[in-house]
Order: sequence, then structure tokens, then C-alpha cells
Amino acid sequence: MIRRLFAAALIALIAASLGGCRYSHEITEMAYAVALGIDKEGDDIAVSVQFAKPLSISGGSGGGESSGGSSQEGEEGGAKNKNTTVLTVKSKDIFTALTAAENNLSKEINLSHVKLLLFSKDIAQDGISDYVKQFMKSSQFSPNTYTAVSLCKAEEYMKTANPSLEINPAKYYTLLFSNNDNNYMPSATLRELYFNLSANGEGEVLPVANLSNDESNEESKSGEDGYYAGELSVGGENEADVSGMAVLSGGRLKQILSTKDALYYHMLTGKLREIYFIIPSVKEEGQHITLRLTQGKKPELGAEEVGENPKLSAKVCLNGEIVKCPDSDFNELGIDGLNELASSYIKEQLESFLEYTKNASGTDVTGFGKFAKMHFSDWCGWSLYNWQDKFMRAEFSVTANVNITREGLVYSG
Amino acid sequence: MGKWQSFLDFHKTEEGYILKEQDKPYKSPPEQNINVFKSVNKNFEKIKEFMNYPQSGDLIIRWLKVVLPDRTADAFIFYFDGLSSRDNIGHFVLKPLMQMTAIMPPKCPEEEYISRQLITQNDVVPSKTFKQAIELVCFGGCGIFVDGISVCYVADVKGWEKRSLQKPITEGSVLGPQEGFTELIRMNTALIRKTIKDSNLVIENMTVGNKSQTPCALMYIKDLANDSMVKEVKKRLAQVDADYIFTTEELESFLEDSNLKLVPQILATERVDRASMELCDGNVVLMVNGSPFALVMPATFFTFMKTPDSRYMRMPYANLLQLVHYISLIISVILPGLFIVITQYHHEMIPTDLLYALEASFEITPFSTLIELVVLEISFELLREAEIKIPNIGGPSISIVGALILGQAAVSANIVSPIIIIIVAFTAVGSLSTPNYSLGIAFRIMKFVYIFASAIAGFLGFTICLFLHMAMLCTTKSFGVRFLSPIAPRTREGFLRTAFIGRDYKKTSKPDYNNSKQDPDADIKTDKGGDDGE
Amino acid sequence: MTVNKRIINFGKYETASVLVNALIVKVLLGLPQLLCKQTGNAAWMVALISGLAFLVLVLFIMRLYKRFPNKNIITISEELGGSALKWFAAVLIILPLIFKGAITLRLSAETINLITPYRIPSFLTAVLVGIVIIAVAYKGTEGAVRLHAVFVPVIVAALILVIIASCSSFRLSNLFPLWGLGEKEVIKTSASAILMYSDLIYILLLYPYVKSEKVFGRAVGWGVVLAVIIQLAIVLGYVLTTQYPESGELFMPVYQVSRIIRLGDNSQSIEAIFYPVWISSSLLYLTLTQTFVVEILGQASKTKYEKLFIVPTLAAMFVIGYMPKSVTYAMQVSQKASPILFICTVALPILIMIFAYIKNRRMPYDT
Repeated sequence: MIRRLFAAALIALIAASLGGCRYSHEITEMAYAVALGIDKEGDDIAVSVQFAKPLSISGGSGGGESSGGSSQEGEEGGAKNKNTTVLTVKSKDIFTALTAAENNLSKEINLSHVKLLLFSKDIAQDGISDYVKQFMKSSQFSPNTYTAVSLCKAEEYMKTANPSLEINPAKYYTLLFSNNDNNYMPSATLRELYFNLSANGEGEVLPVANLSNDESNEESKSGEDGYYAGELSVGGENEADVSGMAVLSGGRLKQILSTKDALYYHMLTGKLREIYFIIPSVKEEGQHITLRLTQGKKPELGAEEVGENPKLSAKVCLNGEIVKCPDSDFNELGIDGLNELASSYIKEQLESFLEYTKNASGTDVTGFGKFAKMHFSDWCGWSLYNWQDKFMRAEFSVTANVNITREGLVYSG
Repeated sequence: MGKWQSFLDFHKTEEGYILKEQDKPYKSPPEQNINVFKSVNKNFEKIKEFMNYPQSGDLIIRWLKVVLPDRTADAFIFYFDGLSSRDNIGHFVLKPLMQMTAIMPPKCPEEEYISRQLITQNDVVPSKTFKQAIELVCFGGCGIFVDGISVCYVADVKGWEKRSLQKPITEGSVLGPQEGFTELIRMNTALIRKTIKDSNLVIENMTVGNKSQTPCALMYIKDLANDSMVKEVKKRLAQVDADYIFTTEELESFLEDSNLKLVPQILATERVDRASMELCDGNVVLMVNGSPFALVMPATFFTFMKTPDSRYMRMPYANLLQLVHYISLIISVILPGLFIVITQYHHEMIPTDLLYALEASFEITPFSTLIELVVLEISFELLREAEIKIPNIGGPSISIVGALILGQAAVSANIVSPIIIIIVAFTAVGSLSTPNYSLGIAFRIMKFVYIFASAIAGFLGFTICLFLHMAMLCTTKSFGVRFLSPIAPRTREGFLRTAFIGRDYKKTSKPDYNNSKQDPDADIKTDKGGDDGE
Repeated sequence: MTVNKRIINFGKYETASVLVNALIVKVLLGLPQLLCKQTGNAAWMVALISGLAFLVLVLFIMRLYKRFPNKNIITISEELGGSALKWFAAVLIILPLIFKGAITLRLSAETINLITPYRIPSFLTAVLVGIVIIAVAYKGTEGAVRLHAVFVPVIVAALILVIIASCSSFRLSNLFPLWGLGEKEVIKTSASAILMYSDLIYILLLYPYVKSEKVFGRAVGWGVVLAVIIQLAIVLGYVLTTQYPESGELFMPVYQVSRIIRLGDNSQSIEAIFYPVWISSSLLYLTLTQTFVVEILGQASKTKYEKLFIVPTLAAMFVIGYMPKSVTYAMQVSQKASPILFICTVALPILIMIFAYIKNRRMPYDT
């Protein structure tokens, strides 16, 4: 028995010396990236990595000093945000850029806590499929990392973003891009982006980031109401803005949509949170009716006919509460009348949204393709059908059903 | 084994070898297994030789005269002062021998006259050999030699100082009886007997230790305990070849299946109720004179994890406590290893907020996480041992020193990180909450193995260590019963009923793992109105 | 029925755990991805059909096996054809077992290397795994099988938790088109999927250790049903969370599913739960394979020093396992070899049992 123990101890010693602790990394040896941005620089790309400074986040000693970096250190924008530092490296490939960046850092870059992947508009227009596949192949990136398109340079956005209510930049990005309460921008993770790259005509929507009051946005003509990212001047410490959505197809940017379009997108896809919706008054010019709308039942999307001209239907059910209503409208229409008014208004807007996105981007933004697929028994038939082409000839039929259930704490009228 | 033996003995000092030589006695002890003589003087000479009189100052020899029917004979008594009760000797041995002979005429032969008519002590053993007589006198008897009678009468007059019944020290409980065993074997067996008033309770007397002849008692309930189990215990006891055995702990190392396995294979309990319950479950209990612990066998992992409280509390509270014990055991063994895995290899598992807090706290300490953790664990082990050894007077100072060293000073001096202190504290609390002391120590040792395995290869090393640990536990046996019953192998009762506490009125059968003899009417369940039908 | 005079007695629980783990290893190594690549969305159908076919096959084998209580295939071969047939059967079972062990050893080492963020060289991983194999094989069959009873419930619970936790990502539309790449592909793949169930050999080797015939029957039944259900649940979960064609491209499908689990905004990667599950599952499988190889060799050679075979057979596993140049090549070799493995480990024993059955047809049951 003693011999067995001796042999076991010897084997354990050999195993220990073979392995040792050389594959372990202390937490203090790693630089944790919070966000990664990709910009276009001629034929190359500029990879910007935003690192958190744990000591200043936790209030420890030695906070506020920036670590070494190559080209732009981020002193201009970084002066506003003392808890992070941005490093930018130019290269042909993302991972070679990161390797080069490590030469300037004392620590090893760890990408497992990256919360945001930001693609600039130029990169998005060229196509992001390759980058997305690269990120998905790596075990370091979580598939739940948020993605966005930036109308300004990704580097500038990361330097300027200055969370005013959080110390931790990772928390800021998570709360902002997870879209828990926001109806004016979608939420898109790396995984969803990867799956929709080859989804046979179905598009992917990403939130749009920009700096406030940026004049570089010359996109899309849509949206009588609503605004695009960067157009709204909110003021405050944080000049970074995330609003609206970008439509991609096959990994290429097709269209930038406003916040209003994002709202209708959420209505159609069942991701609507509570929203205060304005309908123009029918009785008093210049006045409006404000309703607080929430999702009733999940919207029912369907493909009733699939052929040369597919017939696509959408049924949206919303619950409403009167927030503001001119007396004349209320007295004239009553609750039922208001229901009909709201329903018809929303129906028009939704149909307009669908037609517009179809024509402008040629992409099935809302995902009707999933329902059209059900009409086919195998993949071969579906591929031959060529949904992307057929979608352009699709006819929409939208039914909106608004049910005003409450009048608030004060009776209207 | 010869070559290996010499290899392992290579580093022994010369002194060790010399001591070993001197251990051998130069002269073999005199043979005691000879018959008692008729002549009292010859008996006296032999007693002096065998019992080292007058070197042994506590051996008292008192000469007297006994009036027999047809003669007056010389006699002497011998006993150990302090071991025997002087009052009992005076009242029940000397007085009848010296005074009653004149009053009461003999009605039987000489040999029987003394034991049956004169000595009024309740237990008198007529010994024909010196060996038997000396053994009984060494255990508190009073030997009587009478000239002309080749028998030594030994009266049981035990009267040494003993501890009174006290609360069990190592197994406290809130509810239930608070009686603990003492060092006196007869008192202990009496406590068991008064708890289990079953005539089938068998208490077999035997001795262990070639020279110490320590009495021990083997207890089992005849119509419950597995016969082959009892036979196996007796066989192992008979094979114990040691000169001196004084405690159950020493005996345990002779009886258990494997000394080198980290887990204990026999339960040692100080509680009367616990030992009684184990007897009623069909197990075998062994007690040794001089130790307040009873050995229960066989013992599985779940035997060690049960506490006295679990039988006395209401079912929901008892099960919650059991859950706490399991969690505390798991924490005590795997928490430090998991901490190393997560902080050295799998940083992606740490929530980002916590990660920054950890990095900020580790940034200012000079040592790596592994070294800090190991040093603090070792410090805590030192502190724990010091607390046991230190006299009561110095107890509070150890607490202060421990709190200062392990707490405030080390953190303020940036030697260790506060997170490590928390991990070590949780581990220590988990270890102290383990119901059984021996099992707790076993898992404390394994904790270090987990730490090093995790440091070598992360989750791979951790899982491999866990795998090997489970393999060891799966193949450990306690008197033929697998240690992890009823997980592996699964028994009739199942895991949940064994690991947790069921409702007493629904418990109709004995545990299955020890193959005890079952009550043939065990399947009849009491009817409680079907409120919680299973 | 012959009284089982062995000291080791396994019950229903341990036997079923062995079968469940053998299938889980296959599923964890990439079965869902393989099925999705070949049949698209209809992978779950293939899992269901092949599972049912496997169940039917097992029932057939059990009917045959009832005539040979408490005997394993080596004993039956010896009784049928003497020493020559015994050795023939032994070699034809040992070689596939060593091969399967070798490929699984290589694949587990490589996959552990790939999915963990730190890059321990795969050979070192294999060496550490090899040490464990030696330690557990030394304990014998009892140690290896009882470990299953401890670990398999935890593994199954963890896998079910992974599937349940990822249900928020289920999309029913991922099931359509219903027949995936076509009905023909589904039927063809279902037929070839049955060839992957060469782990049936464990049933034929475990029988002498099980308490009784009744227990064995129940254990195998429960084990197979549970294994098929788990396989179906995992494949279905994978198809529902991952749309085609990406579902045919992802490496280590269950790991990929575990990566998408989110428990609130502040939680981090739960996929680390997958590492000990995968490592312990592969360790269980490898240790059991090695134990059986050693035991068959010992039984065939009638030696009591069977433990001496542990290190040489493990060395053979290492050599064979590290012959393929890459992981992809190793997987391809494994897939291509599956019909041969099936013939050696399932078809051949069935043939032997049929011949033995015919030979013993006139003899009553051995009671």
C-alpha cells in the first residue's frame, strides 16, 4: 500500500511538473476589454479597444492613470471618462491588430468581457460577415455580446461615451444595448447577427450609435416623425446617442431607419414595451391624443399565400390607456371611437413602414420569411423559391387592434 | 517489501535504531499461567514476583487469619489502592472473613465455604490460576488467598474515581438527551441497557491488548444484526495483535478496512442515544474501557452526516439542517479549488462588476492568489490546532491573535486580499459545520489536493481530482458495506430517504445497506388518515 | 437461473447509468451537428427514428441474451466454439473498444483544449486523462461502474438544465421546413445513425455483474429509454435554438447552446458548467472502456494478473488516438469506421448468440 501511495505521489509530481501553473493567468495580468470598434482606414481597418480601469472603477489607489497605447491614446475624449482608456491600432485583420496592441500594454488582452461590438457605417456598407464569423469562431467572445452600427467613427464614439449614472462602463453598455425599456432602438447580439447573415433574405437590424448633434448623417428619407441617431440634442455630460436602427442584408448595410420606424418594428415583432403614442386629433387641429400603449397579445405574422406574389399578413394587438385626450374628441368618439381611430392610424403607419422598408432596403426586416418557410416541406424547395426576390412582390395586409382598457386616474370628458 | 522498507527507513537516526534495540526486554516475564498453590506462603512469594511487590507501592497486601471449621488458617488479601473500594473491602471481605467465621458455622466444603457463605460481595470469582486472579485484581478486584485452599477468590470491589455522566463534548445537540458515555465500560453498557430494554441485546465481554488486557464490550441486537457482520467483527478483534490498547481510537485503526484511506470507516460516537439508535438499526457497537467513545460499524457516508438533532427535530427543520450540512461539507472541500479555477483560468465566469472589484483588490497585494490562499488555509489550520491545545485561560488571546493576524493586520498591510479572507472564512465555517469530526478532517485534507489540482489545470484538474476522489469513495468499504451506499450501490431505501429525514411513522423497515434481519411485519404501515399520501 | 456467485452486484441504477453515459458522450461529441449537416432541420426526426430503432435492437438482443444468464459474450463464445472462438470474439471486441477509446481520448483532449479559454496542450490533457484511466482501471469494474451511479445523474441534470435555460431562445420556425434536406436524406441518415450505436457491447459485458436477470432487463430498458429521450431532447433543443445552415457548422453543439444562456444582465458565462460535465462524461466513458478491455483480456487469457494489461492497452490507445493529424480527420475516421465497429461489437455477438441459441435450443433454461 505504501508503494502504491509512493507511485501515486510520483505520478502526481510528474503531472504537476508537466503542467505547472504556466497556463494560469492572474486577474491582475489581464486587461479586460469592454468594447471593440472597427473603422475603415483606407484599405486597412482601425481596431479600437476600450479597456476598463478597475482601480478607478472600484475607487482603489492608482486610479485615473492611463496605460500605454500606440496611436491615439484618447486624451481628448478620454479626459471625460476617467474609468476607461481607448487604444486604436491599424491593421488588415482584427486579431493581428489586437496582438499588435498587446505590445503596447503591460497586460494581456482578455476579450471575454467585451459587451459591445461597434461597426462603423463604412465597414457595415462593405460587409461585416467575415468579422462576425471570426468573432463566432473565437471562444473568447460571448455570443451574447451586443452589436451596433456607428454613424460616426467607432473610436470617437467609444472615447466620447461618458456614462453619467454608472461608474462601470461595462454596465453602461449592457444596460443601454440590452434594450430593456427602450422602444426606439432594437437589440442585437452577435449570435443573432451570425444566424441572420445567411438567412435567405431575412434581414438583421442593429441599433445605431452616433454622437449628438453630429452632422454626418445624410441617410434615409423616411420618417415624418422620429429622429435619427445624433439628431436629438439632449444635453448633459454624455454626448453619445443610440437611436434608430440599421437594416443589414447579407451582412451589408442597406438602410438607416429612424426611431419611429424602430417603434413600428417593435410593434410588429412583439418586442414593444410601454410607449406613449401620439395620434393627431380629428376634432381640434394642432391637438393630439396621447395613449399609453403596451403589447396585448403577441403579434401574429403569417404568410397566407406563397407564390409569385406572396400575401403576408400581420395582426397587432395593443392595449391602451388614455393619457391625454381633448374633450371634443372624447365626447364625439367615446372609447370605441378612439379604439377605431387608434387602430386605423397604427394600421396605416405599419403598412407604410413595411412598404417603405421593402422598397428601400429590399430586405425582409420583420421576418416574414420564417412563416413563408412553413409552406415548404424541404430546404431545397425553399431555396429554389428565392424568398429575397419574391418578397419584393409581396402584398401586406395589416390588422391593428387597439383596445383602450383604462382612462387613467382621472376620467376623461 | 524488504528493499522498500530499507529505503523508507533510510533517514532514521542512529538513536532510533538504538532505541529499537533497547525495546527488547532482556528477560522474558515470568509465566503466570500456573495453578494456585495450597500453601499461602508459596502463593505470597509468587504474588510478590508477579506483581513486583514491594516496588509497586500501590499494591496492598494484608495478612489475616480465617477460622475454618477444623482449623485456623493464614490468609492474605491483595488489592490496588485507588482501584478498589476500601469500604467494600472492609465491609464485604475483611469483616466476614474475620468476624463472621466465628458466628456462622460452615455448611459446605472449605473451598465453597468462603465464596458461598462468607464473602458477601455480589461478584466473587474463584480463580484456579495466578493469571486469571492477577487480571481481575488489576481491574479493581480484591484477591484472597487462604492457606490450604488452592483457589484464589477475587471479589469485584471496583471503586476508582470516575467522571460522572456529562454532556457529550464533541457531539452537542439542542434537543434530545444530553447523556454522554464515560470511561468506565460497565457504566456505558448500563446506559445502553437502560435505553434499549430488549432482552435480545447481547453484550459480549472480551479483552484486547496482550498486556493491557483492556476490557471491551461488543454489543448487538441478536434478532437484528447481521450474523456475518458480528462474526467479522469478532474475527477482526481476535486478530488484533498489540500489547497495549487503551482507547477505542487505537482499536479503530486495527479494525477498519484501510488505514490509509482518507475517510473514516467506523463511526465513533460519544452519545448514548446515537449508539442505541445504531444498535436498533442493526449495526454493531464496540466499546473499550477507558474511552468514552463507542465504535459503530458498518458506517457509510450518510451515517457520518446524520446528527443527533436530525432525529429529534421536526421533519422540515431536520431536513433543512441536513441540507445545510451537505452544503457546508461541499463548501469546505471545493470552494477554495473553485475559487482558484475561476480566478486563475476562467475569468469569463466572473460577473464584470465583481471582476473589477477583484482586480482592484488583487492589484495591491504582492503574492499570487494561490500562495495567499494556501498560506491563509495553513494559518487557519494552525489556529484551529492552537485553540484545542491552549489552556482555557489563554483561549481569548488566541481568538484575538487570530482575528488580528488573519483579519485586520494582513489586509491593512496589503499582504492578502480581503476576498481571500472571505473564502478561507467560508471554508472554515463549512468545515466546522460538518457533523462528524473525522470526516471533517478527511475533507480538510482533500481541500488542499483540490487547490493544487485546480492550480495545475483549471477545471480539468478540478474535475479530475473530483473524479479520483469519488473513485476512492466508491471503492471504500466499511466491513463489506460500500461507503457511498445508497448512491452506489443503490439500495431499497433510496438516496432521498437515507440522505434526508423521513416521517417517523412511515419508517417501517431497517436500513437496507447493512443487510440486517428485518421484522417480517415491517410492511404494515400505520394509517394516518391519508393526508400526505405518497 | 444460475446463482450469481460474484461479490460485485450491480443494480438497475448503475447499469442504466452506463448506457446513458455511453450515448451522452456521443451526443456531446457532435452528433447534433452531424445530423443537422446531413438532414438540416429534420435532425430531431433522425434522432427519434434511430433511437426507436436502437430500442428495438436492444429488445431483440435482450430476448436472445435471456438464454444465457450471467454470462458475457466471451463465456458464450467459449462454450460455443472453445478457446479458438473465445479468442476470436475477444480480439474482435477488444480492437474496436481500443479504437473507440483512442478516438474518444483524442477528441476529448482536443475539444477540452478548444473550448477552454486557456490552452493547455491537448497531449498534456490526454496524459492527465490517461493517469485517471490507470487509477480507475486499477480499481476494476466495480470502481468504474459505481462512478457512473454518482456522476451520471449530475451530468443528466446539468444537460437538462442547459436545455431548459436556453428555452427562451427556442424558435419554432427553426423546425421548418419540416423534412429538412428531404425525406430521402432523413431515411438514409436514420439508417446510418443506427450504426453509431456500437456501445451496445457494454450490455453484453455487464450482464454477469448484475444482480439478476429481471434487474438486468429493467436496467437496460430504462437505460435505453432514458438515453434516447436525452438524445432527442438535446438534438431537438439544438435545432430549436440554432437555425440551419449554421446548425451544421457549429463545433460542440451542446457547448454552443450553453453559451447562449443568459440569466439576467449581470450574469456572465454559464457555459463553464459544461466543462466539468464534458470532462467527467468522457472520463467515465474512457475508464469503463479501458476496464472492459483489461477484463476481456484477463478473461480470455485466464490470468489473475489482468491489471498488467492496463498500461500496454492504454499506450496502444494513445498511439492510435494520435495517429490522425487533426481533429477533423479524427472525426471523419470515427464516422467512417462506425459500420465496422458496429459489426464487430453488435452484429458479431448477435451472430454468436444466435448460433449458441440454436445449439442450446433443446436444453431447458439453466435454473
